[in-house]
Amino acid sequence: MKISPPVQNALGRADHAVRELRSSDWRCAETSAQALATQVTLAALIYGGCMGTFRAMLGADGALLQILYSALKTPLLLVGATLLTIPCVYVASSLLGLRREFGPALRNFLVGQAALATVLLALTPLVLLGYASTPDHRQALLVNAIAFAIASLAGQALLRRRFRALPAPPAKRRTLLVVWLIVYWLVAIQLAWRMRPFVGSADLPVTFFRPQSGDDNAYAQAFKLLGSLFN
Amino acid sequence: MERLRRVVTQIDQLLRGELTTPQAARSGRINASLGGMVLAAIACAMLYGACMGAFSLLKTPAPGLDDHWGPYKQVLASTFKVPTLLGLTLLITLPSLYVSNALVGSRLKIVSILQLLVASLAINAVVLASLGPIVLFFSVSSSSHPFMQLLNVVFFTIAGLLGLSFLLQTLHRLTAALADQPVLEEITPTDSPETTDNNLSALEMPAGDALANTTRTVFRVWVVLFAVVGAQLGWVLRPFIGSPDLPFTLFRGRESNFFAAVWRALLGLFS
Repeated sequence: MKISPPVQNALGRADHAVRELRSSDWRCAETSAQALATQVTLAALIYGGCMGTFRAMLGADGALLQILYSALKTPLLLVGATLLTIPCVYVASSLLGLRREFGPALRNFLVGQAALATVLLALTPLVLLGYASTPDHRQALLVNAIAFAIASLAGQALLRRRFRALPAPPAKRRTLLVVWLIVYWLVAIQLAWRMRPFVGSADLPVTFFRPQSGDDNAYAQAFKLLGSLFN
Repeated sequence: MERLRRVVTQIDQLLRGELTTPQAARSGRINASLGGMVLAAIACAMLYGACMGAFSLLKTPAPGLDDHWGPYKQVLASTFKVPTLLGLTLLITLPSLYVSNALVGSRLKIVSILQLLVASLAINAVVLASLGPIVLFFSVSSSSHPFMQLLNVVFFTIAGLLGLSFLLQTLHRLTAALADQPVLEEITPTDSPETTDNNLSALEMPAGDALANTTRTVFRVWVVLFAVVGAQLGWVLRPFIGSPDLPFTLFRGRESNFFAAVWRALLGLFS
């Protein structure tokens, strides 16, 4: 079988983009921030679209809308959480005396996000298989939670590796990374909670965001759950 | 415009520690304009205040509460309350710091002290402002009032700790620089009668060092005082966030205290 040149070209570029994530160049000189952002957006868009197919597989109405919403929301989640961390990480990097390293550190953080999104993309077929195997909404949620956990671990491992190459004192760059990850998770968890539904229960109508309600704070909900365990 | 740029550059240098390197501290003061730092601190604190007050926006009002302008008034009030909180805390704690500092015989001049304090408050405010977007995000995306209270307490604590550790670190550098000076005098021997006193204090180097230590202790105690005063003043000046069940008022009645309120919020989160 002969692969046509445009397809070959596209495959080559995709291959390069994936391999570039592991490059040891801390400046990320070869990959621009825009290229990384595009990679995050595209990969998350496709994964999100597949995440939204649960409704379609059940044959519930509003399936197309759910696919569209989930496809839009996943990149919004990754990019939005990253954007929200930038001001305080910028100030933290100044206080740590790592201002000159902030630019490269941000690009490396984007590499971590790109890795997360790329791993998600690679797990898409498995998620679809999971959907095909169960009509249970909670199991569908679990499949996605596992996919996100694997992708986050992979992204984090790569991020740590890349931060190790930054030319800064180890204690300082470690502090910067820890601050960054804490803030990122703090924001990302709430953002994801507020952007539900990603999978979409067949019993509920399709909405972009859940409307405001008493349970719209992820952490308050978690604490409430903890409290109810001990009462 | 030119002035604005100068203020921003100065705050940036302050953050990066360029104005308080051991070499720069040799002059015994921070080489920055007081007005510029005050301006930057106020602007940053106002930004954070607005983010705090935004919690009352976009909420469905509690039944029986029909105050259309309440949320906007809350944002406006919080915008001005946060700089007021920082400024008043400084004003309340400054006299006691100055007097005890002078009594233990510190060589720091009042202008240097004021500069040092304003600089650390500016750091405090900049860190707060950098956390502003996160507070704004939680403000508009969630409706749990105890969570917002605790989140703001945590953010104020982080910003306060960073500002105050800047204070102690810079103080250390300034006093180290000041303590160096008698050593230099000691090297050049002078036998003139006018300098006997000077020589005496220079000879008592351990005592001089001990004095610097007392200065540091005074500042450490003051840091704790500043934190407690700040916390309680924050309670007196409340509401900053605005409970969704209460109508807007500029200040609430005199009851309870900050620490009891934090404890209540913590319990409220679990139930």
